[in-house]
Amino acid sequence: MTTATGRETRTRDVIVVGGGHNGLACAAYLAKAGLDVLVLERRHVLGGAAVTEEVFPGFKFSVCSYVVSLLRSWIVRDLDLARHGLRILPLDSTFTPFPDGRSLFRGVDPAETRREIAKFSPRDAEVYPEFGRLMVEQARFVKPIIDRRVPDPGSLAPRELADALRFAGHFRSLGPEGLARHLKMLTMSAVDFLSEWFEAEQLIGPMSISGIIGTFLGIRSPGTAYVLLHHYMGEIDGSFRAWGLAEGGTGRVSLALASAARAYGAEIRTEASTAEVLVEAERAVGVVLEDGEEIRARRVVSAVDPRRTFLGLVGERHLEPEFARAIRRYKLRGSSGKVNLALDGLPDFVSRPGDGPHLRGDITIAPSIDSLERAYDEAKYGAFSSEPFMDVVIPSLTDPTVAPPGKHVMSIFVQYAPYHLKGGAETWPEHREAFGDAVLRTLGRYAPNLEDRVLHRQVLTPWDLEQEIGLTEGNIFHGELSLEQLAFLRPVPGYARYRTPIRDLWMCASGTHPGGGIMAAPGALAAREILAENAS
Amino acid sequence: MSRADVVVLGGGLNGLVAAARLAKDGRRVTLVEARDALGGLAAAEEFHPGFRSPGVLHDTEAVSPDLAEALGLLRRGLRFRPARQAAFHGDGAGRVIRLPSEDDASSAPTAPDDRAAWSERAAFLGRVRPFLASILDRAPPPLAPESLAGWMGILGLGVRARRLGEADLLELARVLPMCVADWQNEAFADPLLKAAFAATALEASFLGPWSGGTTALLLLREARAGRGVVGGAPAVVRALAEEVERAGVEVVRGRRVTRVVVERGAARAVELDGADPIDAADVLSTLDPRTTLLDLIDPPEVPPSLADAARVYRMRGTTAKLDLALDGPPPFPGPPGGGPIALYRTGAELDALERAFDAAKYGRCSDPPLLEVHVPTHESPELAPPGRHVASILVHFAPFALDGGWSDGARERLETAVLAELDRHAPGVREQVVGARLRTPADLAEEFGLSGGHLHHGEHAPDQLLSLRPSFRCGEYRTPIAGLWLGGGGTHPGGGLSGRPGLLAARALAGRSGP
Repeated sequence: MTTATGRETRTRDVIVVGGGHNGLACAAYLAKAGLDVLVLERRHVLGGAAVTEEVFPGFKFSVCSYVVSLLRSWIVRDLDLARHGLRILPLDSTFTPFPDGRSLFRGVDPAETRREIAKFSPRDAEVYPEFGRLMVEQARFVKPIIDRRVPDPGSLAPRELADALRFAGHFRSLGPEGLARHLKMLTMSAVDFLSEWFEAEQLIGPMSISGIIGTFLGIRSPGTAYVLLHHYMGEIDGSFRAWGLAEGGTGRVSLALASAARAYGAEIRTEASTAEVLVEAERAVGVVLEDGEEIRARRVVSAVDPRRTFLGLVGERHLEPEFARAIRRYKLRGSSGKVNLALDGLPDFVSRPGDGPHLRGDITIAPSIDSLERAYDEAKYGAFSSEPFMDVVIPSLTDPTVAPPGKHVMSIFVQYAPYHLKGGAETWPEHREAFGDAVLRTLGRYAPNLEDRVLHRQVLTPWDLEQEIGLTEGNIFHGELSLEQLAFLRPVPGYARYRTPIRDLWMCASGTHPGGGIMAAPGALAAREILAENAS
Repeated sequence: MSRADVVVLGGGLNGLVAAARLAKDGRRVTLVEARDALGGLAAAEEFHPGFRSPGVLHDTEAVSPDLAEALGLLRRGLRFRPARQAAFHGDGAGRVIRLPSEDDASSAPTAPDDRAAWSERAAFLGRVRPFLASILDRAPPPLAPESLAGWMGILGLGVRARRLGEADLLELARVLPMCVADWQNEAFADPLLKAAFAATALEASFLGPWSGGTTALLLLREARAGRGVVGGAPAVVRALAEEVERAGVEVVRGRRVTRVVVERGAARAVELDGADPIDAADVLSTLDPRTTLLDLIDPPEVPPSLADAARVYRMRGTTAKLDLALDGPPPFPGPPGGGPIALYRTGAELDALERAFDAAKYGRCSDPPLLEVHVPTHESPELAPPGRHVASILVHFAPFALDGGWSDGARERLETAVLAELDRHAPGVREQVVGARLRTPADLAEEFGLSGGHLHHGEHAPDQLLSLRPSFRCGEYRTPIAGLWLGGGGTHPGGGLSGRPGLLAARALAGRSGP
C-alpha cells in the first residue's frame, strides 16, 4: 500500500536490496513461497553485473558478465525460467591463437580436438580425453557442494556432526587416489597441476586461465587448480546447458528471474537506491532510500557485496568490533576489466583467416605460461598488464538479436586490471583509454584488421565497475574466490549460511557460498534458509 | 655378501636417527653413506684452511628435546640453548629489527599498533602450537585408513582439532591457505616487520610471499621452533654418530648406493659402488624420493603409478650456499638491545621478497638475492681461528634450472651479487673476506645426491605435506614395494634438521613386525 505521496506504508515480509541476478532469484523463491517481497534496485536497469544494455544504438552489450557459468538447472526448472524468456545458446569451443602464427582449436568434435592438440604434442593429445574423464569424475563430487549450504566445522550440534560425517563419507567414497587428487587440486597452482599431465605450454596456458578469472592470482599461484573443475562441472548437468550465452545478452537471465519473481507476486522497483538498512534493537526492520523514503520489513536481504552491506548500509556502529574487522579484511581486490566493442565486421585472425567455428566460441589470448605470469607480475605491483590475458566472445555470431545486420558486438574480458593502481584507484579514469589501447593493441597482434572494424568501444575498469555497477573495488565475484574465502569461510567464518550477526538481516549474493558467476545458487540457497527459519 | 635386518640409505640426520632407533630396538642395521663424513647437509666441513662451516643447513631449531632424549643424545652431551636464538632482519639501509619472539617480551615491536597486533598473534600462536606440533610429531594421518590405528590417528586429529575451540579452529582454517603477505598485512604496519615474518616462510620454497599457502609454511615452521642446539648442527651429528656406533650399527662410508635390488615386488638387497652387496629384509631410504624410486631401482620393478608420482613430485631447488671465512665479525649495524648478531635475514619489504621470487619463475637469480646469514662463531668460536669468524649464508632464489645453466660465469655473478648485498647490510664485510666457497643448487645436487638440488628433498607446499609427501602412495613411510621404506626429508614432516622423518619411518618399520 502506498500513500498519496507514493510512500510505502505497509510492512513488507522481505525487502531485497539489489536487483542483481542473485537478489532476483532469492526474491522469486521467497515470493513463490507466499511472502510479500519488495526488490530495490539502484539503477534504471535490473541485473547488476548480469545486465544487457544498448550502449550504442543497435548494439546490445552484455556489459559486465558475459557468459552464463554453471547456472543451476534446478533453479531454471523451479522458477520455470524458460517460460520467462530464458534461452541459453551454445558456447562450446575455445580458440587460442599464438604469436608464431599457430593456433589451437578445442571444440565439440573429439577427433578434431585431438588433431589440434597433436600439433603441439602427440602425447598430450593422447592424455587429453583421459584428463577430461577424470576431471568430470572429480567434478561430480564437488557438485553437491555448490547445490547446498555448507557444513559448519566449528559446531558440535548433532545435526552438524551428521552433516560433517556425510561430507567426510562423500569424500571417502572417492578412494585414496581420488582424494589425493582432490587435495592436490585444492592447493596446487593450475600450472603445476596441469604440468603433471601435459607438456605443451600451448595447452597448459589456455587451460590454466580458468583458474585465475576474477582472482588476484597468477596461473602459478597455489590454489588456482581448483577452479579448473568448474569447467567440467557443466558436463554433468546433462542436457541442460550450464555454460553458454543467454539469448539477448546476459541481462536476459536477470529479466527472466525478475519476470518469475513478479509472476509469484514480488514487487520490483528500479531507481530505488538504498541508503541504509534500518537497525532497531539489534534487528533489521527495513531500509531508508537515498531520497529519504523509509520502508519497513520483517526481514532485509542484501544482494550487494558484504563490505557494502555491513560497512555501507548497516554501519559499523551496529557491528561487534570483531565482526567489523573480519569484514574489513575480507578481500575484494578487483583484478579485471572489460572492453566491449561494436564492430562493422568480423576480426580476421592471422593464424586462422576468415570466418569459421573458431569465432563462435571462446577466443582466448594466452600466448604462453610466462607471458600470463608476467601479466600477473605487473598487476602485483600496481599496474595493468601491458599484454593482458583476454577472453573474447562475439555473441552476435550466435545471437543475431544483439547487433544490427552485418554488424557485430565483441565482448573482451581483460585481466589483469588491478583496482589498486600504484597511484591510487581514483587515478583509473586517467588510465582508462591507455588500458583500452593496450587491449586493442594486444588483440590486434593476432587479428590485425580489428582496429579498423571498431565503430565504438566501451572500456570498463575496476573503478568503473565500482562506480557504475556498485561492485566494491570492482570485484566481479563480490570477494576473491581464494580458499580462505570459500565454503564455510565465505564471507567470514561463522556467517557462511546467509545469516548475519544482525537478526533478520540476510545475505544472498556472490559474497556467500558458493560464490560468484551466473549460478543463481547463493540467491536460491539463501531463500531456502530464510524459508526454513520462517517456517520454524 | 653380508646381511642385515635393515639397510639404511643415507647418513644424514634422518638416516642416523633411523639407524640408531632400529638398532636400539634390536635390529641388525647397516648404514650406508656415500660421503666420507656423516651428517649429510648437517655435516661440518673445513671449507678454507682453519675455517669450518656448520653444515649446509644451519638451523637446529627443529631438533626437539624429546627426540634427543629418546635417542640418548643428552647423555652424549647434547645441550639445548637456554632461549631461542635472536633473529634479526635488516632493510640494508641501516635499519635492523629483532624478530619478535613469544618467549621474550623485550623483543616485541616498538610501534604501539604493531605491538598490540603482535601480542594478539603471539597468543594465537601459543594456542595453536600444541595442535600443529602434534601433527608434526606423529606419522601423518592416512588418507584411506585400512587399520584401526589409521582410524584412531584420524579420530585423534579430529579430537585435538576440536579441542582448539571453534574460534581458533575457524581462524586456523582461514589463515592456513592464505598467502603470508595478506596475513602480515592484516596485522602489521611496519614493512620491515612484515618482511621479516614472511622471509621465514620462504626457505627453500618455490613460492613468494604472495603465493597461497605460505602462511601454512610459516605456522608449521613456528610450530616446531625449539630453542636450537648449542654448537649447532655439528653437535647434533657428533652425538648421533656416537649413539649409532654404541648401538652397534655397521656404518659404511664413502660408498655410493648404486642399486636397490627389487625382485617380485620386494626389496632384497642393496648394491654398492666398490663394495659387496648387502642382503636386507628391509631397506629404509633417507635419500630423496625421486633418487630412491627412479634412480636406484630397475624401472620395470617400480609400479608405473608410483614412478609417475615420483616424477611429478616437485623438487625445484632454489637455494645456494655461500660459506665465508672472515677476519672479524660481520659488521651489521648495532642490533636493538646490543650484543652480536648471529642470525640475520634480508629483504626490506614484501614486494622485495616477491620480486626475488619472480626472477626464479623465469629461471633467473634474484637481484638482489635474499640472504639468511648465520654466524656460528659467536657461539662456537672453535669453527675458526681465534678472533676470526665464519658466515654461513643461504641464498635465495638461485634456481637449479638456471636459464643458460650454471656456468663459471653464472657462479661468479651469483657470488658477486651475494657479496654486494651482504656488504650493503654489513658495510665493509667484503674487505674481511679471507676465503669463500659457493655451492649452487647444481653443486648441492652433485655433492649430496639431491634431485633438483632441493635442500628439503622436495618443496614444502600444501599439496606435498602430510600423507601427500611424497605421494599418497607412500605417505606413511611405506612404499608399494615390500620392504622398501622412505624416511628422509621427502616424507612427513619434511625437510630441515629435525630428524623426525627418520624417527617416524623407523617406528613405522618396527611397528610392522614388532621390535
